[in-house]
Amino acid sequence: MGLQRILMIIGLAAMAVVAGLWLQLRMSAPAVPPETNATLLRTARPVGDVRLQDTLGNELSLQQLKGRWSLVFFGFTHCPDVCPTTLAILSQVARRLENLPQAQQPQLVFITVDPERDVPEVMKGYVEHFDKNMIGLTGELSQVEALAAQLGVAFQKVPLDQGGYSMDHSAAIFMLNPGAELNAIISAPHSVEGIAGDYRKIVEFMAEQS
Amino acid sequence: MKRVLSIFLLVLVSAAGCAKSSQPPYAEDPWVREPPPGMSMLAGYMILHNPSSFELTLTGASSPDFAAVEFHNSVMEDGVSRMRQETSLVLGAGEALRFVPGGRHMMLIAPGRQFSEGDKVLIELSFSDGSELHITAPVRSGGGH
Repeated sequence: MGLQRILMIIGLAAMAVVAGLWLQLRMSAPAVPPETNATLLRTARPVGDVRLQDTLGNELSLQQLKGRWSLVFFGFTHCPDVCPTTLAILSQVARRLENLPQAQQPQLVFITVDPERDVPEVMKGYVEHFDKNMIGLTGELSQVEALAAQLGVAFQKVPLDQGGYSMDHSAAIFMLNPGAELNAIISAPHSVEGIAGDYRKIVEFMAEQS
Repeated sequence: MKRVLSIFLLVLVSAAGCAKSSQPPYAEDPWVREPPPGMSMLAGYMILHNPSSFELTLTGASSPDFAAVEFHNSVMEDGVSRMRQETSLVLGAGEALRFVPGGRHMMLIAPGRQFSEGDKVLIELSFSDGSELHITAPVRSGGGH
């Protein structure tokens, strides 16, 4: 047996050992989900498509959110406290995440639970006030209801003493992955640090998984 | 006699020390969130202090710039945000009530004009003893700070 041949066998054996160790390492260390306040769905849940309207009145299918991570909040524009507070927080979250690669930065989505009053024109002025890139969605009540039911969003009209009405609504923020599937639920109370921190961890973790 | 007088003085001094304080209430850091264009409702925030040794009841509010001012509390029940009106609020002696984003707030209804950052909103608070507190709340954008 020539020296060359012996060296080749040793080389192959070494490669096999390294490969074996690598495999073992991967299999013995299952990925641990990050510690977050958000509820992370290990397996993202697909969301059935609904057809809504953007702030220009154009039809927008939920599938059109594909390609980027989305932070989705449900509310209504006649909401003086919780909605502006949450949207101001989301706008600051987006600014704080600007140092992520473009493809990993979130798109902000505000969906009204009061499409009766929140027509596209009203939505336009409202979302642009908080963030010029925020996507505002309204549409047929049945479509909003269909989406809300899938995500577990509750909302209800409540008459006000002075006339008109308010809306009770879920205060959670939904994190959709670039496949427009539900990947995490961020419960209130919300903070800029809390959401931005959880968002980074979840995006990083899901990237490692794929 | 001298002794009696000094005891009398001592009693008088200690009585003064225990005297009930009637310092008026005051608002710390009042502000109103800059509204998106065309909004019919704005929210105002502050920390309302009652430094007196008496309980105070806040019974109402008004503003020359709004049709009505009400007190509301955003409460979270099973993850659902509900807004509930509060017609009167009790401020215990030496206590403070916090009006904060996502919680208790002044709801300013139907503005007479458009407000933007830097504008001032005048708000008058009324108490059950007939007293009033006038507040000037600056309009601020975003989180308010």
